[in-house]
Amino acid sequence: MSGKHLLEVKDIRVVFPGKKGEFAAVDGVTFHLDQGEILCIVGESGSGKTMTGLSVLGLLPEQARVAAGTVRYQGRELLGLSEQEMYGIRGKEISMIFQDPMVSLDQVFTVGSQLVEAIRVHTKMDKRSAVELSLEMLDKVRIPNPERVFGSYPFELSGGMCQRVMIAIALCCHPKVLIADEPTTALDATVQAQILELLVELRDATHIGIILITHDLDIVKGMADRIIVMYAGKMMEMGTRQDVFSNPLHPYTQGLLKCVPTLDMPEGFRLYNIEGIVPDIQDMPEGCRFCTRCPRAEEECCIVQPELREIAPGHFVSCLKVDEVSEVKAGWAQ
Amino acid sequence: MARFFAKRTLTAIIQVLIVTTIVFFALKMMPGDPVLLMLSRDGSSVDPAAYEALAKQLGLDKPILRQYRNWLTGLFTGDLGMSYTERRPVMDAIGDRLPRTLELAGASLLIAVVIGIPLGIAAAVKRGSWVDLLLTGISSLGQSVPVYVFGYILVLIFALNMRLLPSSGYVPIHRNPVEHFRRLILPACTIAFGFSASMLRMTRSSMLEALSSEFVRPLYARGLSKARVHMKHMVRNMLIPVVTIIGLQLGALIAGTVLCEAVFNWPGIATLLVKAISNRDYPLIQGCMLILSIIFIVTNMVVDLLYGLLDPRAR
Ligand SMILES: Nc1ncnc2c1ncn2[C@@H]1O[C@H](COP(=O)(O)OP(=O)(O)O)[C@@H](O)[C@H]1O
Ligand SMILES: [Mg+2]
Repeated sequence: MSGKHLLEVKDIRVVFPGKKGEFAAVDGVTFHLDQGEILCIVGESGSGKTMTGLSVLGLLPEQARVAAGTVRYQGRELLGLSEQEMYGIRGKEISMIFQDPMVSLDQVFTVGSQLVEAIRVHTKMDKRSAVELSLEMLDKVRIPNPERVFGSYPFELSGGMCQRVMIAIALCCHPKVLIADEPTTALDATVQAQILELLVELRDATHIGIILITHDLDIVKGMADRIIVMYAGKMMEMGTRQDVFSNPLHPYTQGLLKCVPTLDMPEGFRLYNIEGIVPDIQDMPEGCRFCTRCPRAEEECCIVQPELREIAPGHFVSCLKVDEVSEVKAGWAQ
Repeated sequence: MARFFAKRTLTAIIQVLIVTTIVFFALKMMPGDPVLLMLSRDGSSVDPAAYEALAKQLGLDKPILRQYRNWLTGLFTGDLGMSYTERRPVMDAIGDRLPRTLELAGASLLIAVVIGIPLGIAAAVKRGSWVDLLLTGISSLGQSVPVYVFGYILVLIFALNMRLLPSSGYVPIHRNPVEHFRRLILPACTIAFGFSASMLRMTRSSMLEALSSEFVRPLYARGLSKARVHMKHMVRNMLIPVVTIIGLQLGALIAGTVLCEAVFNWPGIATLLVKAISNRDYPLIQGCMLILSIIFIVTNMVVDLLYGLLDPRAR
């Protein structure tokens, strides 16, 4: 990772005040994003995906603090910037859309006025051109009858429509990065597919880089270029879609992949479940955070923190046993 | 909107009728006889012939339902009858007094809004700071001190001690506008103190609620500044509940005006009503109650309309 990437996040650590001093909700997350790329962050809920996304935009909850790490956008460090300077980044260079579109818009302003506002805080555009651009954006996100939606209030629209509006607002100033935090989790399956299709389409048209946060492996399988697997605030594995789906190296990733139901699965087939539960985030094991549930954990796993190692070009794994594990995996594949 | 308005007007008329009907019969059950009170102020004995004559003149000799019907017919022809004690039409007496009460209530409301809402916003935005503690502290004081106590404190300080303002009284505006407003300041501030305190608290809590809503972070994610998020989006969302609660508190405002008129000798409709009650001046009492309930109901209607304008979801 040499500084030529669009966005580079390095060793990010997000801490919250807890019962026994601070605890890390995100620890050592490192990745980069290039133009036109879709990077998926997957993990169970509570694994720190949202906090990772928010730390990039400097929008963490009040109690949270970035304790370490760097976030570079086009080579420029974002973490030290003042609020004032971040206003020029958010929405203009890096945008974000959220999990529940129905509550992510201000309910007492029309869709149009919120779009026009978002355009005019970043450009010197006069009102009329901003209205025109807004209508164009609504059309771009495939909203039928943009004029009507322009004058509507968010509560008059469906969830899918609201998410389209959120996307229109997020993209109206042509940012280079879009962080999409579970953008379809709150939507029906059919609408979900349409929104994801729209994101891919927009990526193809504008070469925007997308960080897609999700807990749904089906989505990842369908559209990711690269994948980060997170568990309890830590990165377990990172690699191309090919790497992760065809050659998963981390025992956690392997466990996750076994959970995905497939169509050709025989009836009554019991889904593979990872044994145990996620440990309390405020009381993590000293070593690997997955060691309490790992089928392959040995004594040293619970003592020594594994580092994120590049096993093959672009394929990173954080597991002490990774070489053994990859052999075992070969056995599973049969 | 038009249908909503028509419906509200109809309910308002029914409400006014119910209120005045209750007042009418309650008055008749009240001990005390206006004829006796008019003929002998000192309680000496009264000539029965004079009594009968006066009762007949006032229409009090008729059966009670008949009296009620007469009053209702009067109401629909715009005639509220003659006041026994003022010796002129009730309409004229009210016409003199009502604007003064409205002026006092309006001035208090204005002061309370201008002080309470901005300070409430400041307290919410700086939640937990000394500014917040100071403001909420003063406002709980403001809510617990009764109008007459605070009124006398103001008189003590600004009229008797510093001699800045007259302690009470009223001067018509066309005679001397400066003196008119000098006499308005203390009573208006007296009512406004408690009212702005409760306004501050309402504003603070609805502002805090707005600030904790889900769409705040998405607003920042668009690149909006803190000032814009607070002053445009949060304030607009905050105003919706605040306007409703102001509407609900208008009754308290009118009650405050009643006490305040007494303390500052402000000749408004409340002092007129108090005098009318002690004299059992039935038509005047009826007229005042009618006007007060109309004011009350109309202001509530206006608040509802305002609410519809502010909150698109309520349209
Ligand atoms: N407001 C908060 N206060 C305290 N802890 C929080 C807060 N928000 C998130 N966390 C902690 O951060 C962890 C990661 O949260 P999050 O990033 O939202 O997970 P995800 O998006 O993967 O579901 C949570 O498990 C929780 O412990
Ligand atoms: Mg999340």
